[in-house]
Amino acid sequence: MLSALLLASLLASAPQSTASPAPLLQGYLDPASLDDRLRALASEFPGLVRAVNVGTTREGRAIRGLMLGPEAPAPTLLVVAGLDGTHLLGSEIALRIAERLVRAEGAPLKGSRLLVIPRVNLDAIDRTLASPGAPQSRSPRPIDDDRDAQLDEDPGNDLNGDGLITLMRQANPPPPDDATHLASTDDPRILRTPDPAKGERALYRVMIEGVDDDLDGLLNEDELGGVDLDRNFMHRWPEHGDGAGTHPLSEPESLALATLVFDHPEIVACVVFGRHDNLVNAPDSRGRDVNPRVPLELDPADQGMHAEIARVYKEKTGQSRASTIDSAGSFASWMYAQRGVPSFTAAVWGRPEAPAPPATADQPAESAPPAPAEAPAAPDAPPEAASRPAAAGGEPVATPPAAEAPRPPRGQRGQRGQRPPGGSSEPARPPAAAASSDDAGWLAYSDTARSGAGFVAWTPFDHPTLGAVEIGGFTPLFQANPPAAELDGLAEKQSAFIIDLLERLPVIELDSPRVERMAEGLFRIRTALRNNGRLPLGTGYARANASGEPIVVRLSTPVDRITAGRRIERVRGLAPGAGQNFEWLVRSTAGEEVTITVRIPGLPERTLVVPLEATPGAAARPAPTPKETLP
Amino acid sequence: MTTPFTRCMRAMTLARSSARLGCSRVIAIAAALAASLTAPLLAQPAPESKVPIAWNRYYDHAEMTDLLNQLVAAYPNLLSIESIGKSEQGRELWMVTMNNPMTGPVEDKPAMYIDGNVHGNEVQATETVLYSLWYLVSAHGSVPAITELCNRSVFHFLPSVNPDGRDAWMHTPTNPSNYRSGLRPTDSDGDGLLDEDGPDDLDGDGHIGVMWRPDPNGTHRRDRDDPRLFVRVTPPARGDWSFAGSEGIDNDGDGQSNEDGPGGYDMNRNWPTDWRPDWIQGGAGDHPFSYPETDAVGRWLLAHPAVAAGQSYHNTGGMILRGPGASYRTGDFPRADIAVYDEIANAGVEMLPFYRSMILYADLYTVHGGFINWISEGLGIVSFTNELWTDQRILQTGEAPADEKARMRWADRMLFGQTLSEWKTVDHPEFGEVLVGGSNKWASRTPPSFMLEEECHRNFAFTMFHAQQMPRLEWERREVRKLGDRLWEVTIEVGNSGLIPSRTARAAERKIGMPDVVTVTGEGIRVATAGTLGRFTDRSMTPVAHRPERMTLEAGVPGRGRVVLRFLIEGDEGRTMTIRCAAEKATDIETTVELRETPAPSTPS
Repeated sequence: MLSALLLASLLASAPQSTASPAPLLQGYLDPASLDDRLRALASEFPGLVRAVNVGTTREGRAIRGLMLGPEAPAPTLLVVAGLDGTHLLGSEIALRIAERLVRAEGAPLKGSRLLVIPRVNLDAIDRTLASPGAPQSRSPRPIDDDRDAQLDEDPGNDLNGDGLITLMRQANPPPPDDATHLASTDDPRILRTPDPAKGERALYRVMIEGVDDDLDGLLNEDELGGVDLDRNFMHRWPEHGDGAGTHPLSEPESLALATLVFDHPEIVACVVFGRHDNLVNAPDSRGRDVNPRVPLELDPADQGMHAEIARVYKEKTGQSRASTIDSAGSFASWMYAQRGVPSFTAAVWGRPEAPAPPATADQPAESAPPAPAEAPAAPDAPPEAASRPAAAGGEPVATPPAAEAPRPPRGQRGQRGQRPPGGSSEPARPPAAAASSDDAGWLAYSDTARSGAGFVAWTPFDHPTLGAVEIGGFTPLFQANPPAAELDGLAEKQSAFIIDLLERLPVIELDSPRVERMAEGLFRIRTALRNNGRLPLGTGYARANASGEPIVVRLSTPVDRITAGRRIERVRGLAPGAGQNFEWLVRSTAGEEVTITVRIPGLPERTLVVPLEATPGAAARPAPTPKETLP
Repeated sequence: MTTPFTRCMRAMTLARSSARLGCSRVIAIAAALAASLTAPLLAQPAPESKVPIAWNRYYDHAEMTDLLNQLVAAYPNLLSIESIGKSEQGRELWMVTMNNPMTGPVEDKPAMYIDGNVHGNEVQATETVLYSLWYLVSAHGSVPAITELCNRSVFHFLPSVNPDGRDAWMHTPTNPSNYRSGLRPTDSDGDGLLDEDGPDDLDGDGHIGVMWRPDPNGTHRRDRDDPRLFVRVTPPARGDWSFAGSEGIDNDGDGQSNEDGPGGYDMNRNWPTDWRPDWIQGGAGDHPFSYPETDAVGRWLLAHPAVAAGQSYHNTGGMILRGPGASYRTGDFPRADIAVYDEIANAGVEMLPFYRSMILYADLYTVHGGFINWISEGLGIVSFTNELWTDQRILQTGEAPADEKARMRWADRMLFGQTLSEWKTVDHPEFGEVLVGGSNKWASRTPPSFMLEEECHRNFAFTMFHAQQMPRLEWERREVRKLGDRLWEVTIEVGNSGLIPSRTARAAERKIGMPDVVTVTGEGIRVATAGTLGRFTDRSMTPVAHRPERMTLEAGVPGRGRVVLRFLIEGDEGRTMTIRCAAEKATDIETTVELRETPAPSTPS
């Protein structure tokens, strides 16, 4: 029944969108090709790369991953992409990172592992790839957005047959509909909200391209799906929020990903490629959740660690602009706040610098120069938009969400608070700054570097119920997904970042135990567990709350022969460079052996046999090197 | 069996309902007169059941399953049983649904969900649910108030959410508070091992008591009058005994005793609303619905939007609890909802001796991810948790026993020592010779057998009061005015005689579930526009923007209140329109209105 409805709604929008498929995703991998490349890598490097089965989507597609590194569990960096069906870039990059690392970089893993999951939201991604003009962001679980007992019955429609669902603007809409936008004086293609104080008046009502399929008086208010997988996790889960799902992990995809994380406590760091960014934009490190024990985004205890990784990211990738959205309920925020795993999010690609002044709408640059390199890396890059706050030291510029084409509220009165065109999710922008606004920048880039591919010029259309409207606006997917020709170059830079992160993973080592004879039959054993890596094992926030599974250090001596010290020690994370000392006084006979067992969550247990020899500083056995690396 | 008495009561029920419909009061009086003339014997005011059950004892999962099946077999027309899932250890989670199909299918009626025993040790919750089911089904057909309530409502009974914990509590050595958890093996002490160091029944008496060790610097001494009691000494005096914890040894040799017993989590902190991880909310589990029991209940409730009222029984302390669970969520309870909760809870305070009406976060403790928080704040169900039993009931003073001696008198004189286990000397590996014993698992959290039935009945009666408040829609006043040749103004009230609104203010605010929907159909008519009025006599209405033939009422119909609807209809005189008001949490109602001017209402004298 549900699938029949689903199919019906798909068919409803399919005929138009097949008319002229947008070239925007040309060169992006279809599902089969991506799977082939994953498989090829695994079969080419059998000792180094293994396929990981993550789970199955709601519609039965297999979510696949690749594990790079040794067979035995080792500290692991997790890279996830494709949580959102419109951020295809992330998946391409994640796959290429895996390929580069083993083919071109000589697998710089050094005993750690890299787990790459390029596509999670396969049901949505496959729809986007099949119909890029009407991309599917959320998991396509049928949801009755307008609560009228019909599922997904009023999506946008491709009225002008250009294969894209863009926007409609209606000049001087009759009551009760209000005009909300006007055309920018700098570039009439850009819509923005008026500044009443300057005598500006709105002219246009802005809507998603489409008709009132279900004849309820509302336009395009119940599209296909869905649940936003990246709002379906436990940290700051937006209960009753749009796309949040009925409960955390309500979707098979999010549950599969969380289960993988529960099953692999050796994951010690995480990178997510998608709509979120906490590397170019500094995350909030002051705000708290309604529950004061919970940080909004980043606990002050982790600010330094995070800033250092952000610095490395910008240095390695050169990305200086990124869109960002609220992290509530996201996978990465859950990894950070509840799993104690340092987690980083990157959009990979921000709005590039336009090489020349923008052409007008009517005359897009005919022979566009090649795609420009991105603006030079911070810290010296000047902020591009003068209207935006820029901290000293050339802080990167936050730009509005780009993964989805800017869309007006759905339904007549706005159902979902989508961002209207013109970036009015931000405080009203001074009109003087409009020329340097984000939209203008994207337009300039589209005109000069992409032959105008990023924007559909406003064109009159006779709408069946509204009458005269114009259809146009930014091309879906344009602002999140660069031309395929740029993918390899972007992946090379992102690989450099991932390699750097791998080198920083925590390295937990036990000092060679030092044994002293205190008296006949009484020995003192001293040792320490240290993190000799450059990332913490467990975030500062997690360590402060003693959360998560501890490292367990256990002495074989029976408890009634331990005169001082605890037989089982628990270590709740270790900051880089930090150590935890242990001291035991044990009653024993000389020559006897004591075993120290160290168990790091997710890793094989390691044991160290310590002979009780009455020689201070006696070496542990086996002890080929001064330190025993675990593992 | 139908007695003359029940026949007469049925006649009265029919008469009463027809009187309510305004048909005839004369018949009602006649029936009542007939009853008083023909009743030869007065039945006892307790239902005769086809399944006799002793209510002065507790039942384990197998016995409970057997009783449920007996009841379903005896009352097949009213009851159905299903397993909504399996527990961690594979026990069935039995749910019995009571519905009279003669008065409509399950989906068409408001439903009350009643569960218990999510904490395995809180055993009498199960008997309370069982008793409620038993009483309802036994009284249906013979007790008019219950027959009528059951005919218009559905009841879902889940007597034990945590049958693993229940059976472990019933059948293995334990104390009043162990086995709160389910029985998924869990690493409670962070050493990587699961459930490796629970309590141990050292003296083999089937109970987990406490231990006292001899100590020259002891904090206690044995009481001179009653050596079963240990009394604290005041320094500088020195006692000769010190408390040595719960009965058990250091099974895993880590220097601690009983630090990782069976399970070790709290399924009443495993629900989506304000769920928090373990270090903020102890026992929360990995994520909401992470246990098979909570997952089964959660999925079941998500699939049953007709549930309008909820009760989840726990022990102990004599409380009628509602949310919110945390101070920062007071906004989840709008004023209109609080009035509903208060009125129901205040009735409970009158019906349940020494029970208090309490708000979780303010009067008890903070709870994140609690069950009634989820179903109230997440699903818009008016729900309570009753904490069954209070020790204020054990003496006749109405106060909890002032000291241990008073408790001992109760245990000796009323319970003949059955809740005590004698002190025995045991050789403990760590402490040497210790005394093991004290109160047993039946001593504090459960009513003694002779008070169990009363506890069950009073709480059952309270939940029935709660159930009676479920929304109940009725058409009230109506008026048709002719505005033009073919234009009619139809004004009609839809009322709700229940205290609970058809949609809670919380549900309306957060758009939980579906709004109530009023549809108009009819041949040869067209709804020109429609809207709502503040008062029946208002001349101007608030029109709907779209689809006047399908109006939505986001706020539903208020409890003990009404919504006034107005339709402007095009059609010839004599045509009829059918108006239907559909609500998720109430029985839908439908009426027809003829397009013909109604006479002016008479003025009340």
